[in-house]
Amino acid sequence: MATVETVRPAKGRVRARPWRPEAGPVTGLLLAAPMLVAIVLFVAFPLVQVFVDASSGGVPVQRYTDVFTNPVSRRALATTLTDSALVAVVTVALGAVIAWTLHTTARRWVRVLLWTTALVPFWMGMIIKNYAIYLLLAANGPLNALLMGLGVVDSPLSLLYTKFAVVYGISYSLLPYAVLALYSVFVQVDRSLLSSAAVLGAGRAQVLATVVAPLVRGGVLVALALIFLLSIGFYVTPIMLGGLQTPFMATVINQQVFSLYDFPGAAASAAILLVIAFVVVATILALAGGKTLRRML
Amino acid sequence: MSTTRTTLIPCAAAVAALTLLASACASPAADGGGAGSGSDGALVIASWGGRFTETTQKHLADPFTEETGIQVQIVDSPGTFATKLQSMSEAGNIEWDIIDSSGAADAFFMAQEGLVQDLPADMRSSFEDALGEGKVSDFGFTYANLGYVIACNDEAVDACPTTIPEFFDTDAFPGRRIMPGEAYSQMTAVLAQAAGRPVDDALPIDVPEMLEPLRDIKADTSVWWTSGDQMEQSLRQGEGDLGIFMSGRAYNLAETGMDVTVNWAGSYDPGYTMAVTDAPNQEEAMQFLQWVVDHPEAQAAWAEEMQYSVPSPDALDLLPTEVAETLADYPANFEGLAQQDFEWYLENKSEIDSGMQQIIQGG
Repeated sequence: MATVETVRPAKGRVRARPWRPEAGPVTGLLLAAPMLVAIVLFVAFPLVQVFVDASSGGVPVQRYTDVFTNPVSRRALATTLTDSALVAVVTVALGAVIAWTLHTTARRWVRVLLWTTALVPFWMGMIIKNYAIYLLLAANGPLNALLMGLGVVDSPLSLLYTKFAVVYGISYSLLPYAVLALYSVFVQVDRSLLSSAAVLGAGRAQVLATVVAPLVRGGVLVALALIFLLSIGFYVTPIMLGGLQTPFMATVINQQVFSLYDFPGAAASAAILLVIAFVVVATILALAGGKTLRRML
Repeated sequence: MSTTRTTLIPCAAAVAALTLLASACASPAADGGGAGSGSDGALVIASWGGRFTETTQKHLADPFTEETGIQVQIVDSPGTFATKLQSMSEAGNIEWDIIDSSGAADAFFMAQEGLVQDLPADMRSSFEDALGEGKVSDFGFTYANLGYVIACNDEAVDACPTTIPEFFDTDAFPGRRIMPGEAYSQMTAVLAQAAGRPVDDALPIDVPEMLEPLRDIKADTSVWWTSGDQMEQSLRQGEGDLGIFMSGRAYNLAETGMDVTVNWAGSYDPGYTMAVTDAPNQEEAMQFLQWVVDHPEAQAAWAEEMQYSVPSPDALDLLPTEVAETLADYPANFEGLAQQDFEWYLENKSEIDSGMQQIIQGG
């Protein structure tokens, strides 16, 4: 800091004390205060309230066990978790290909095209995005017309209201998150390492497995956790593309509030989803290790 | 340069933080529920949004304001009247005066919870004189009535079932069904007929007996609709061939050029317009109810635009026959529909709802 002071020409008003480029702890705390208040009021308090509501009144324990014993919510919970796991794998796999190509390609137009492809889902409203897919997958929609035109199928496939439609819809929405998260990890992979490995005789697969994989492993795990987390909270896509045949927990919670007027039950469902999400993320982050997290944040 | 930056950054950060805080504070009010505080004594009507709100504004609220000088503000709360009113009541902050055409099961629930007011005895009897006995309850009058009826895509089926037992006979009338996914109360009157009950005496019924036909038809059901748009799209897109539809939606499809047959068999589904307990503008609320009852021509104009039925027999007479015969209160249509039993439904709500939910969503 002292060097800054010495190179400054001492003309005009001279500061009495040497200044520091970063704010002090008190200023920092004061500046962060509105944010902290907002987080306590609108994040921490409602989260605690969920558990309080779920445990209010007569039978708190039964409310939690009901989530697992009631066939509707048990099935919804299983669907939410398995579909979200599928979404995480599909999205991270696709995102990895896009992010890696963005990192390695020398062609400008490929980069522009890929960034556009990856970010377009960001620019569309949730309803628009889902409606587009809804129309695309319709029994008399373009995808079925194409399949029938090519002679792949004789009668229209039922594509809507299936697991496929839900995973497709959510993955499309979450692709930008995967690309951005993975890109930030991939850019840190020095490309000269790859050519060095090649020079020393490693094949493409060997380079990926022994050079790239260890470097990006943590980042990929974090991306998986992020996508999984975002996915389990989806409401619009499962109800629009999956219907009541493949409901997510969000659908069931909505029904508990608006059809059954069962607020404590809804809170219990939400609480269990929250706990599961927390456990999954904590596990993945522990696997990824603190170093990766610090590098990504 | 450096000094400017050091002051600029905290300022920008503070502004950003405050904006976030402000927007977080403002968001609950932005979704329509919290509009009451800004109403300034205007009569607040909770309605369904979109075209429904526009039509109520144009044919009921605007002429009402013109005649009485009472300002009206309509807030949108589609499908969430009961839950929102319940939280308003718990918070001791009632913001609505009138509920526009609540679903009947919700209306009876709100009445049971004391969230909507009973009509004064003299008002009730005068409403009955004007509208007919079946159209008035303790707490309000029916409005935006419709039928849950059979609709078929004529290009996809050979014959369209004319009764509910025929609809549930998947051997005689093959085709993929489009069924209501969350309309539990409306479905009780449909399922009772499928279980062999007569149209004019469908309910009450033993719940497990009622659920049997639903379990049987599940294998032939390709869509369980949860929104009106989805219901229309499903038939239009060929996701299903025939279904139980809201009557207005079925005629919508016919109007947009599809070959659709609508058969008036199913259940009658009234809405209820009513005044909220402890409403900020009690007197004006009662005035509004009276005004709607006294103006069949306003009801007729409303019905013609929305294709939902209205309670006044005079209103039906004022409408052209081709419009009137698409409405649930038109006598020939009304006869084909079974009545719901709302008191029985509310007593057995959790058994009925979770029973249907488990069949539909339980895998």
